Amino acid sequence: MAVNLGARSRIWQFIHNSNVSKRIFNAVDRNINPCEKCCRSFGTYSKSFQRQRRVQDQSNAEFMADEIKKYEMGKRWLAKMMGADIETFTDSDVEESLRYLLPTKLFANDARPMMKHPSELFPESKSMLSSDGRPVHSAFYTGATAFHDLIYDIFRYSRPTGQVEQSESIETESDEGNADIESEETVIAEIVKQGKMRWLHQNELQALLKEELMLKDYEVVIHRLKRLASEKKHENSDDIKMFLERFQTPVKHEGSQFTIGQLDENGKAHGKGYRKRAMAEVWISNGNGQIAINDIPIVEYFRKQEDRNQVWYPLITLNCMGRFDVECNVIGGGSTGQAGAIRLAISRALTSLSSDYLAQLQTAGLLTRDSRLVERKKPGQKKARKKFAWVKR
Amino acid sequence: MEILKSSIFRFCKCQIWSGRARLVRGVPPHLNIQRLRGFAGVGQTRLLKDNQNEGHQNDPLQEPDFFQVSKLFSVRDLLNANIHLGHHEGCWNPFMKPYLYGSRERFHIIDLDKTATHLKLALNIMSHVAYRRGVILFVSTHPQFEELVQQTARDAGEYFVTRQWNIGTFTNSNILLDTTRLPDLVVLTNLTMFGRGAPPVKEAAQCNIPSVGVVDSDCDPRLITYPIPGNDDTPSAMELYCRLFKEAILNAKEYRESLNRT
Repeated sequence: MAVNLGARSRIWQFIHNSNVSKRIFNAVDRNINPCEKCCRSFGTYSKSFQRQRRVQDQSNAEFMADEIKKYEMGKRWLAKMMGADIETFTDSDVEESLRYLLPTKLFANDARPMMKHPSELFPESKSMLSSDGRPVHSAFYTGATAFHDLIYDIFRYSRPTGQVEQSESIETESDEGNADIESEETVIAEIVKQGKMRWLHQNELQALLKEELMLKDYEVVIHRLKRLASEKKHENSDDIKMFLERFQTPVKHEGSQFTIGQLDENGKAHGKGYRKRAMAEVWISNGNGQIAINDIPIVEYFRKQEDRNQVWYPLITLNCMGRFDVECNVIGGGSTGQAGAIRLAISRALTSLSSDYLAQLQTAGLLTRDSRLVERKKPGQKKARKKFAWVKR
Repeated sequence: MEILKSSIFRFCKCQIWSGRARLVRGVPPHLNIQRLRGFAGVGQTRLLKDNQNEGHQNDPLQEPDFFQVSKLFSVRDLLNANIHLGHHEGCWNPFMKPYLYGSRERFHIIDLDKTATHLKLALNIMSHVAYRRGVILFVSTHPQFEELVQQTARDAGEYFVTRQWNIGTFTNSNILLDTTRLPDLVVLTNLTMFGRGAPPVKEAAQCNIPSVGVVDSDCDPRLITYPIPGNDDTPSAMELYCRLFKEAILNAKEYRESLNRT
């Protein structure tokens, strides 16, 4: 059982766990294979050391069995305290009862009391050494195994096909004769598809490799993938296409994310927009052209004519002034920013009303978020660009 | 002269390490029959098995050339792979003087006899380490040979660093790699690419890890335990080195496997 009562309790438990010390002594007593003598100094030390450090993860079956036993016991205790049936007490009941018994207002999740099954609580085995004390992976000493595997794959695919295996090339040649007609169609489909593909970004590639990737390494990978993709001799190889597709993803069309065409439960079109520091949320329904911003009519909310024009602009371009009622919530920013944010929100909401509107709004440039933000103030200057007044000598 | 002495001392030391404090003399008796076969690599594993069947289960350390690395190559092979070509006289490292034969048209020529001796020494130690399940790490940061070295290491079932060397990989391994298992032998090529101070060489020396290094006429051989004087910029030369390293390691591993099987 592991009820989280702060970091120190865990360490205490670790030190006083008799199994740990027993295991360390066992490691020393083990008879050493004469073949391993060469690496004796590193071998035995690192093994006992690894064992000692590895104690608290899932690779240690003994430790896990112990923990599970403790957990089951704790669960039964809890069930008894809560007056519930011991046999049907589930893990979700455990959480509920903990919340009841140890109420807390702590914000951070990991600071709250918890009691979880050891398989969730302890990390999976992270050890990179195999049983004979040698690292498992060839790229172990680089610290980036998945990255090097990927690079190696690119090397392998970019080699001339004749060198890889002759038997394979013969098979593919015989296949090509049969599948020529079919492949033409697929090639066209590929080209259509490839027009909308892009390479993965750094964070996406990191998620794919499950490993931290530095920017320079990412650039190397993408450069090599692009070079592999541009080589013409590989065009017919399905293996390479499959390989490259793993690192590509379809591009989202700028408008496509708003073309859901869904209205909310009240039959209103909903949209969100941003400009400078302002955030706006808009609901559009059929009506006679009333626009309310934070429950205030637009004419009172925006004193400047330019701001009002900004809000009306998407409706004017679509020739539908006076056909829709607009309700709007806006926070942050000044009047210009708020007007711009409402404009973007209205444009986005309008796209879900009719598919014709999308193209018009896009050509008018109303679906683009204006990414300009205020320029920072510089030291030695009064504002972003303005300088202090000075006189020569 | 100092350097020459030290290299001879190193040579002797290897022999001490391998159990006898004298230079190589003749061929061990159990290999006499096999000398007639002659060719490198091909008949070797069979040969090792034969030894075993004949009851010559000697300790590998008792023989000066137990894994027969001298049969893997000849001086002619080295010449054909352009290993004798050094750099321009202007960029030499004076510590390479004992390994140089002379200079031709202002380019240094490396003495291939010395290269052969040192290469045998390096291959021998590599085979012994591989035989004893040691970890061998190939380090080469030259972009041109990245693929070659990585392929060699993967084929031989060993380890590699072919991109930038993270400083502290050995000296700070418990933080960077979360392990204390360091390699038992480091194989370094393209020393000039390591830059000023050559951190991999330095760290290997600091951590007491023996190192094998291909040293061109512009490299510093001082901190390397088993230097191999020779050209390290030509693809043909690098391919030869990598092939020899791979064969030496795989032969030793195969011999161990054959021991385990019987």
